[in-house]
Amino acid sequence: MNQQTENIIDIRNLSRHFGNKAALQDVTLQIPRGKVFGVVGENGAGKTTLIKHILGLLKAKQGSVSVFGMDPVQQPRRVLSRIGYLSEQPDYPEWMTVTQFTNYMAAFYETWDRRYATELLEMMNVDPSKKIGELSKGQQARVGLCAAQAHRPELLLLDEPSSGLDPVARNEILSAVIRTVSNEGRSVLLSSHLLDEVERVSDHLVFFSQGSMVLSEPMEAVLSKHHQVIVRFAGSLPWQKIPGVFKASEANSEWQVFGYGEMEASIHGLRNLGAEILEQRLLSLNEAFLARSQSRLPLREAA
Amino acid sequence: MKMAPITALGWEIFGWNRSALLMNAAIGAALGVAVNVVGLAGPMSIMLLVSFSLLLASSFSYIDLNTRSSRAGFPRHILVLPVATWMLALVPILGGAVFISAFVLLWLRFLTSIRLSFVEQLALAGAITALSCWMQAMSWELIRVRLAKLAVLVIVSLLATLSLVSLLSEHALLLGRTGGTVTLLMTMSCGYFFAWMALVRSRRGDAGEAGPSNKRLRTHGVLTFGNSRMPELASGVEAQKWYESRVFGRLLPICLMIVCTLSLSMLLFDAVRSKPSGIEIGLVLLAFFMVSPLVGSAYAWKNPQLPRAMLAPFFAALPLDDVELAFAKLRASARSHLLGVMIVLVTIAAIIVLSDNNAKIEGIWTNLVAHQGTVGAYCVLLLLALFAAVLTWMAGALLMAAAFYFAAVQWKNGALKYLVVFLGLLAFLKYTGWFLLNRVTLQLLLVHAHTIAWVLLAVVLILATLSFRDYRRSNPLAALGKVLAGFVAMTAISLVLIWQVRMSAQLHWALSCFAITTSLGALIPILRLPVEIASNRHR
Repeated sequence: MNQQTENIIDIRNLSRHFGNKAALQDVTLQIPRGKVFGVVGENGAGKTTLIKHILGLLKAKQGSVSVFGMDPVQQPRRVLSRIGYLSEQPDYPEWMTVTQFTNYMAAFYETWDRRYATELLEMMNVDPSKKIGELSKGQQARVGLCAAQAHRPELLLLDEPSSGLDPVARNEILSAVIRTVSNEGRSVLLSSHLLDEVERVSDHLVFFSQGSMVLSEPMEAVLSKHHQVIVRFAGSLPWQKIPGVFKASEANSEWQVFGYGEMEASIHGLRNLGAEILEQRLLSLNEAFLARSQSRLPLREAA
Repeated sequence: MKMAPITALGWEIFGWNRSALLMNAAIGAALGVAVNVVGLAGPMSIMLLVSFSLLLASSFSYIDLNTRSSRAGFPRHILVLPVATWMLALVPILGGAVFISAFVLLWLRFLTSIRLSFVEQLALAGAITALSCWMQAMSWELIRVRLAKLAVLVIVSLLATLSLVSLLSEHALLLGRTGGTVTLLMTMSCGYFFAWMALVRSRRGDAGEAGPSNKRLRTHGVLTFGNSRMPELASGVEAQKWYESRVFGRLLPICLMIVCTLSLSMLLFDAVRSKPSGIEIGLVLLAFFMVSPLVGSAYAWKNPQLPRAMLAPFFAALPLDDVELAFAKLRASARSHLLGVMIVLVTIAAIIVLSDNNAKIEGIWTNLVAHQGTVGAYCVLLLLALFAAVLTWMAGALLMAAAFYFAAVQWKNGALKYLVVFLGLLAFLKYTGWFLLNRVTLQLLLVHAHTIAWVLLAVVLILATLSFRDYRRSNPLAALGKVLAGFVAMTAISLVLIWQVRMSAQLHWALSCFAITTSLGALIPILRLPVEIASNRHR
């Protein structure tokens, strides 16, 4: 299988500006089939803008976006019929009953599986006779998840799906759906603020900050490479000289140094600067996110 | 600085409508100046006044509109303020009524020859206030069933109009002056009472709740009108067409049914029945020509309160090509338009049957039959109906495309183009009548009819070339097949009808060119809409 068909999404040098604000800057990203990609970043980092480009709702003005080998703007029907999409704020017609809504959606997708849709609604405990407007926000999100999933899309795009789901739905339903999709060899792009959820279900992590993609690594690598070293050092620590270290802060001559790559290399670099090592540990995804979100240093791993 | 609750509430309402109010004030002032400069005749000025007053009324509707459910209600954040309910209801109603009344009275004073005494001005303001009360009561979800809301508004409009006519009429027709005054005061106070009651219920949290009788009515409505029936949807285009019809397709028939019901109700009174029936027919036709193009543009709305028409992400992400999305909207609008035309035709027939004074209509018909014969006369009527239907649908579809276009461009460009369109419209209103009634220009039109058809054909061909890229994405033959068949059918029917009518060869030729021009014109929105939707959907 060649690279063209292997990668269902191929984004190259994509940039987008809204007025003076750079929403995306020179993003290059390939998503292979069968993987769950977690996209994280602070508010306004560019996650939704990226997803809108994949859906063809935004036109690539600089760079290119290819989904299933096609331009989603040029061929919306052929691309979108293979995608399931759940947006952060689902704007479904509230006057429709759930049954009407699923019948309406079924007409758009040749691969819509009515039995599977019914099963999903039952699993999600949604009353099909109710109007969408009468459902709670969480129930509406469940309906959206069902609609995004019932045609067994090759790519499932979930943009902050957890914002409407309660913890039970998040832990059980969302994870189950993502696992099912992944096990069937289909792909998922999950954008979320909930890092524990992203850590639990994703194979690969993409980290956006202020429109730039600052990290794109397999999840295992992300978790094994982000580290923190606490050192004692009097005066100003020239941490920028150490490859892989992206942030440091000081309180009472104790420095918290955050690095990416081999922890031993960071320790070695710090010792060479004359720092006394007090503590060292790997970071959780949450800690790595917090450290990363305040730093936009390019990737420069500690060897 | 501590503000009195009523002042704070006034500011809140101003803030709520700030952009709409400023925009309407600017448009109103521009409209007034333009009417004054161009010097539009009385009826045209009144027509503009009525349509603009309706626009103002919609700006003052103080509601939280949920467009996904099409449900409205009093803004919830205001309900929790420590202000008496009577004041919560009074301030928005009074604000709207004062603003609209002032606008209407100033317009009448400075832009028409109509002069009203103080009492008559008070009566007009009273009628506007009464309508404001009832419109707010209905929009604050006093009752939930839309059909019932509609019925209430129709009855109230009728009562307010009758009272006003009785008060303004020199001969004290209809209800009489005393009856008119009492009816107006009753309508106003009841309207305020029900608006207050709607707010009381909203504060209690049970506004719009269906009570047992309400539920029965809803069930009956569903059984009667098939509200929740859903057809078998064979494809995405069919599904989208069903959606568009369900959300926007009822607007035109409902608007026309209000006007038609009002016109027919007026015939219950002897005084109206004895007047020439042409007045009611004119009212119905005027409403159709004014409302149908505007409603056509509604298919571009995402949210009626947003000035920018755009596709909501949910619909933009549906697997449909831009051409298919455009066709779903156009087909739904055509179906709704056809229904609107049927309502108008049936109403006109009913007015003729119910009226006691059809002398003028009968005179015109007799003349027509004498000149054309019975078949020819019917052909003339059919031709008029056909051209009116196609031209109004075309205007609505063009406005729909324009709404998508203006949403996709920078607002400054959009505003500039709106201004150009607005001034163009005024010039059109002013000079079209003169142009068409002038013998020399009419002769010129007749002589050069074929040139106009050729020019339009060139325009259509240019647009077709520009739209080709968008059509190529779908199957162009499949997409355009039905359109081309429709174009051929429409042209053929028109030509057959034209050649049934007895007239000079030159007129036959000119009218044939006009028929072809109209059919070609209908192709313009069909070619343009997918391009505008694409620019709106893929920004």
